[in-house]
Amino acid sequence: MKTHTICLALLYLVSGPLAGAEPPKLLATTPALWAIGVDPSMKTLSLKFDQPLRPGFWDWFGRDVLSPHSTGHTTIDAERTTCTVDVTLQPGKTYICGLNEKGIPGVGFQNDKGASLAPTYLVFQTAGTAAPQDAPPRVKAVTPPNGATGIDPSRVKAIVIAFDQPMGVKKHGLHLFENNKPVDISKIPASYSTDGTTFTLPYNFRPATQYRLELNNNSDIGFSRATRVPLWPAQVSFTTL
Amino acid sequence: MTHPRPNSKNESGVALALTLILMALIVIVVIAYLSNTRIDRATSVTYSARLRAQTIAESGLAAAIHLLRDNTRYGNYVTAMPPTSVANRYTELYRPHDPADTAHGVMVNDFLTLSNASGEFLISRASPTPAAPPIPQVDPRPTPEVVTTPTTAIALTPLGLTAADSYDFNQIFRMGTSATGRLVNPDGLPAYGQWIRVRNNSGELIGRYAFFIEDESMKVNVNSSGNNLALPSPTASPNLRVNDAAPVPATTPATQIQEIDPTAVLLAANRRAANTSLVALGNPNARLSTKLTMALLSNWTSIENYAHLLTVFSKDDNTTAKGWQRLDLNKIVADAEAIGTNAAKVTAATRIADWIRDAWTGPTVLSTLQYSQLFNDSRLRLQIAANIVDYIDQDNVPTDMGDVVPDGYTNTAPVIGIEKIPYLVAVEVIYQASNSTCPSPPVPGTYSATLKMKLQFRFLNLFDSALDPLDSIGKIEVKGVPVVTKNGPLTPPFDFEAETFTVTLADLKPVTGTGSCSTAGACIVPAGIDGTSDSGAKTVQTDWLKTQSATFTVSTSDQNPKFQAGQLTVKVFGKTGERLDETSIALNGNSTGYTGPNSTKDFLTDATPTNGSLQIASINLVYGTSFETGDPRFRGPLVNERWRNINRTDASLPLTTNRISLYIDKAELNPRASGMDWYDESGDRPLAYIRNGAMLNIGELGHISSAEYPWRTLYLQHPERPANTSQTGPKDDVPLRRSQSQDYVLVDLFRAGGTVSRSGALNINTQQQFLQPSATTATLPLHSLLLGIPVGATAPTILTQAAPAAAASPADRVSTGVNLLVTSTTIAQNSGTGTTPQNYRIASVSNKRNPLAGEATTPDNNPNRPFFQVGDLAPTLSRLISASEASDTSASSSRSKVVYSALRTNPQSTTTNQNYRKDFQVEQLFREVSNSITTRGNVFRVLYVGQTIKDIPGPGPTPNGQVDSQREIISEYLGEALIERQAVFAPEATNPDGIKTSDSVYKILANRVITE
Repeated sequence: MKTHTICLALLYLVSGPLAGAEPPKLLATTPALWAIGVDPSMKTLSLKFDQPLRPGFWDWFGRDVLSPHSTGHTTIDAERTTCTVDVTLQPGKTYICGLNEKGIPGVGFQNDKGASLAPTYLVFQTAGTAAPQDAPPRVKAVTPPNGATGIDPSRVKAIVIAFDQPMGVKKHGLHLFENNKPVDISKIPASYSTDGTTFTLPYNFRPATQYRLELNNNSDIGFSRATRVPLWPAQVSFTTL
Repeated sequence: MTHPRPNSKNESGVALALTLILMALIVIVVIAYLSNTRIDRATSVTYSARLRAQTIAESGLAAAIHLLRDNTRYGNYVTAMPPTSVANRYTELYRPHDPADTAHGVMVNDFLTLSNASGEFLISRASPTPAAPPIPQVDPRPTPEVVTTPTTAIALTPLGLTAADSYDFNQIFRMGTSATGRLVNPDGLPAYGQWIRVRNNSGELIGRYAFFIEDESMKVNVNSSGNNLALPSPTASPNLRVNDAAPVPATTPATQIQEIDPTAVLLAANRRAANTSLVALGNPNARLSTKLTMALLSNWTSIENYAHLLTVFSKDDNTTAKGWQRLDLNKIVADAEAIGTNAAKVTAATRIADWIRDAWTGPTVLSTLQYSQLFNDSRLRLQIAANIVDYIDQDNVPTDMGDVVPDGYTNTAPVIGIEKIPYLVAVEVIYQASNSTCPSPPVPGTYSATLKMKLQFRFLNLFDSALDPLDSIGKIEVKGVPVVTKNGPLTPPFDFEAETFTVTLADLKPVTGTGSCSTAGACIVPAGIDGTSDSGAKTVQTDWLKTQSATFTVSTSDQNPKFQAGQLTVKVFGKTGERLDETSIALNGNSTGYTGPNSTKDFLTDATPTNGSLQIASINLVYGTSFETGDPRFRGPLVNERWRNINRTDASLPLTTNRISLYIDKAELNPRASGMDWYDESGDRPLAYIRNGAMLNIGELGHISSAEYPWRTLYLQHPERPANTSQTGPKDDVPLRRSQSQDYVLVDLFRAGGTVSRSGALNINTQQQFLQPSATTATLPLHSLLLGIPVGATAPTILTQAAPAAAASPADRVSTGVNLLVTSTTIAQNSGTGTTPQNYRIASVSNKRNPLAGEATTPDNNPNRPFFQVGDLAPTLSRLISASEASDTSASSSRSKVVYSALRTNPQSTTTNQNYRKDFQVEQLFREVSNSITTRGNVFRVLYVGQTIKDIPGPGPTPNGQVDSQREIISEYLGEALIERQAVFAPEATNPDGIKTSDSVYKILANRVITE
């Protein structure tokens, strides 16, 4: 019995506690995340992961919003770290691959222990002239402005972002960091202007604090046009008095 | 006057004569007295010598008991006999040694492996360093032979004893009217016990003793075996082996031991009469009041030829290799059934799982601990334990062990036992579109259609009789039906992913048939039919559960509709809400199509009023690892590992052209072809087996689904048995699992009813032989006792490919027309012609268990050795069944039919019965003997002899301490005793169910003089 226990303990130490419990992470994608000018003749998308994947499980397109035309035919290499899917692209288009978009454990890309890739958006734009409805939105202005110092928290009480196009008003993609620590703003009621071009998040800034705003990132594309073409990620930093 | 005096001279002569007479009388009296005194004195000396011989002999008996105690007191030993090629008879004993006591120490609470084995001859042996006179007697017990790093064989090297220093116990003695009987074996080979010298305080040789020990479990117990339940016929034995799946006769013997045919050792002409006589003596265990087989004298002819094969008093303990009492599975489950709750069954299953962990008597230190070695994984232990409980209990409700986190994982998986119920093997979510406003051909724009959704299920019957879902299933819950999109979400979304659909049997209707499944008989799932591979399935479906109009967009880069990725959860509940089955299916998100195997065409755009309704389906099937297998009992560590969503979605009318209609009421052929063990041949449709009653024998563990891999039951079969599929994955997976399986150890841990101490179990290490009069080739009784083949008038013929046996044995219990004769249970793997068979010994690792990757030596299986555990016999017997099926006689023992007989459909044919290639049949022989075999006995027959010695001078002038001639042997006493080891049991601290052999006491059951 002792021998058995020792053996199991050794195995545990050698193999590492709960080996495989860490979910897989993306090392690289083709095209790259948020790439522009992607060759529309590209026939496949590929993902390279940091660890072997469980064969037979994938989720390329999530909720199927602006996903590229594809049969869904997926292949995986012998090392089980690189997945590829066939696609047919058009020029001037923005595509979204909502990798594991729903975030359901055990669904989509996952490792042998069933730990899934965190929801990730592979967004890219193909080369070519985009039709007006396919053009990504841009940020026109942010308040407080990027790089500002000495923002008076007693006077500035909101984050305001102006876009060049009407946005989908049901979501946003803002992430706020105070002194590099994330702030949960999910409970704060945000709003868009009637025309959908201005986003406002009321917020009580703390004095003498460094703030950073992330507008969309690899796992959140809440800032999107009504056509669902997302804002390319942007960051804004400022400091309060 | 004077008178004349008589003649005085004559008077004095008389006196002299009288004096002489008196003196003569006195002399005679004195002489007589002296003579009588001398005779008395001589008689007294003889009597004294005889008493001394008996005393010395009884010293030998005491020494024999001491030897037994030294080696057997913890119950963790095996007894064996050497290969029959040795020149003399003896019994071997092996047990784990205590390295701290190199002399005689037995490692308590351990079990025998090759790495700790010490061996002992069960005969008297002189000390290797005898003391020279006049040193008083020293401990004569030799140091047990420690078996160090064996590479070719574990066996004691014969001692080379000769008549010069030993007593031959194989003496001729009279048995009834026969004067040719022998004490040990009729073959006349010597059975030596080495002389132990007895000296007085002056160091003078005054006597010597020797003993010879047999384990009575090596013989057939005529007091326990045999029954009279079968129908009589001129040649039939009344002792049929019971096929546990289909017992014949219907009234089974009370114990499997009674199925051993004690008369199989007789010549055919004697068997029936002997059977009748034996059974007429009384009920098993109460037939013979004597402890000796002499009582059979009047009923068995030629008893002198068979006496060595028979006993009336053999016992063994139903203990593990460690000497722990085996856990009684039948009792544990019966106790839980008496309470009747799931909690009670969970408690029972937990005890079984913990027992596997704590009482394990197999290797635990392997270079690569494999998940598939079931003992090594806590979840699998629980799953197997639940399966065992559900195999035995009669409620037909799976034991729900709850959700557990498998070792090394973070997410839970349900552990639910397996019962004799219909299991879901397919869940199809069917979507239908109609009234599409899209023009044909489609042009970009926004259109509408009517969408509907319903559920379709396919049940599989794994078992041998029809099953009505109504008897076991209450409802099915389905959550997470896939969302349909086309160029993005529909408007409104056709999204019921978050909704739980509860389907009762009243909601289900057979696709073929009428009524609802809540009506008895409407949805019966038929039993499978052997030869019809897709039999045993039933498809049922709901009405439309959802109907909704939705708009969709056709774009310039138009795409077919898609199923969003998600998770489909399916739960099956019993009639009172108990959980019967639960799984999750990961949906990858597929492009759909309504026609053809490539699932082409858009059902939303094409379902115009002209074209009518069109259907697609999310098709989800039972699978395992990376391909569909069709085994719903497979339970991986990840809950979504059991089922798979297939890419193909075509489901539209007409029937027979779409994916789901191809399998209405049909088990799927392709998964069956990947069924590895059960589906060896296309067309096979073998059945799972669940007794729902007490196990008849412990070999039934082989029926238990291991749940670790599809179609894998606990392996009680030979490990080199090849996979019977070329399917990528299984063709490698199955041999790997078979080769590294440790499942056979489970047979050692449990018992199926019975008592802790039992009579009549047969030691599978026996080498007792029967040599027919005037024959030259001995035959082994295990032919008869394990395989049910009589020792006939002619010696069994070893079948060869060129000359198969002419006729099947009439007493063959395996199957009508199947010829099974064997002289060897093992053969070296690369010795295709079997030139060096090892009689009833495990030959090599390749015949027992293949080494794991990186495993240079396999600690338990590499060299030839006796059977350490009863489970060791399982692969040997399964090899007999299936080893002979191919024409190949080259390197693989798994395919050689040279040594082993062919299990041919016709003994003269080269074709084989394919059914014997399946798990169920390949393990049948083991099941039939699993409850009646052992590797150790409790009762030992001790032959002991003592001699009184007068060490007279010669050849030198002084006594030399040796017995140089018969003149020095004053008297001799030869006795026979039966010694029973009676275990002293005590609780074992590791496990609350553990009761170990803490010590033993030794009782003389019978003792008699043979000659003096």
